[in-house]
Amino acid sequence: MADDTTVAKQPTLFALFKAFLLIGMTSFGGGRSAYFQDALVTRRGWVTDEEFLEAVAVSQVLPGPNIGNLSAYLGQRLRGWVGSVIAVTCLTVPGGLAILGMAWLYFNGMPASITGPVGKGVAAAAAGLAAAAVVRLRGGAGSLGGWGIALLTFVLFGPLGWPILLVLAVCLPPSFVVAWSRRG
Amino acid sequence: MSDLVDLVLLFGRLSFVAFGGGIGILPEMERAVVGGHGWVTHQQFVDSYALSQVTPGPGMLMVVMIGYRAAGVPGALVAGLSMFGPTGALTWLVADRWSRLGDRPVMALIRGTLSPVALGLLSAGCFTLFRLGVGSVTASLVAAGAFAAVAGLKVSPALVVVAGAIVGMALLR
Repeated sequence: MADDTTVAKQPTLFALFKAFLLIGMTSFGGGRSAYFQDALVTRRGWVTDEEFLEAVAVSQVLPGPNIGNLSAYLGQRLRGWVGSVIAVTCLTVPGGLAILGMAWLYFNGMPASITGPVGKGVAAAAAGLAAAAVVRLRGGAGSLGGWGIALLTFVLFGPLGWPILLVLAVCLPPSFVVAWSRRG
Repeated sequence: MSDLVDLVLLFGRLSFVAFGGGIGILPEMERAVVGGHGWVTHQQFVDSYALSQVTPGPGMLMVVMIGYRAAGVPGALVAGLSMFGPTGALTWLVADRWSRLGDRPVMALIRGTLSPVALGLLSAGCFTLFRLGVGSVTASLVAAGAFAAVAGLKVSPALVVVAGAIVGMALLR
């Protein structure tokens, strides 16, 4: 059907602007996709778990900063090219201005080390946020086979530190087989 | 002027070899901006990364700081645009073509293929964050508290991370 559920959930441009601007102003620390998951999937329901995971995968497959790509992708999904431009702009401008201010202070004598304790607290909190996002998205595994694929991907990309393209080359084919076998 | 052109060429090129995130290109970026162009020193490069971790938005916004050092505010603007613009446009193009395929059965199959892998990638990212950022008992408690607040109590991540920063200032010296 043309009028599927994703269209029904399409936000206004202003709502999109507000949502991404909030992410752009508040996404501190690493694992920033957790902020997108919370804002767009859990709170607003604009994107389903599966659509979000698809967006994450495509953003990582394509070159470029991950969450810049994630914004461009989700912006397109929600409101076409205007959505992409708004999403990427709102994501990058607040932080860009903040780091410009930091740069000015730094090159005028502020030691970067004064941010050290703050950075440590932020990094620890961000790790917890990222774990919460993973737990919320656990349904994306889909089946026992899917869990196996997710685990394999985790081990290769996390503890073993393989390059992303190699990880994808190894993990996507068996994942396709699992997905194929499940369609019955 | 030539610095601006160099910023566009360098960060534009680096963005297109940044697969799986920006961390992988840091060594090459350092070689170019410290050794090659001499825009920043090694310490300034390391500090720009550290500062990008306490400002919101993508970590790769650190290039704004390098661009600023190289060519002032225009340099900052050009560096940010070069890092995020071209690959963002590419991602838009892919998303646009992709969404035109609609809800054919093959799309459900592709989605079903990508989802478990993406879940694994996110888990691996989480692993890295714990390995790099959670090295003490206090930090572990902050991480556990952040997890519980967001997963259980539905607290906004923004509030949680600010709380983490405050705890960090107080306890993680």
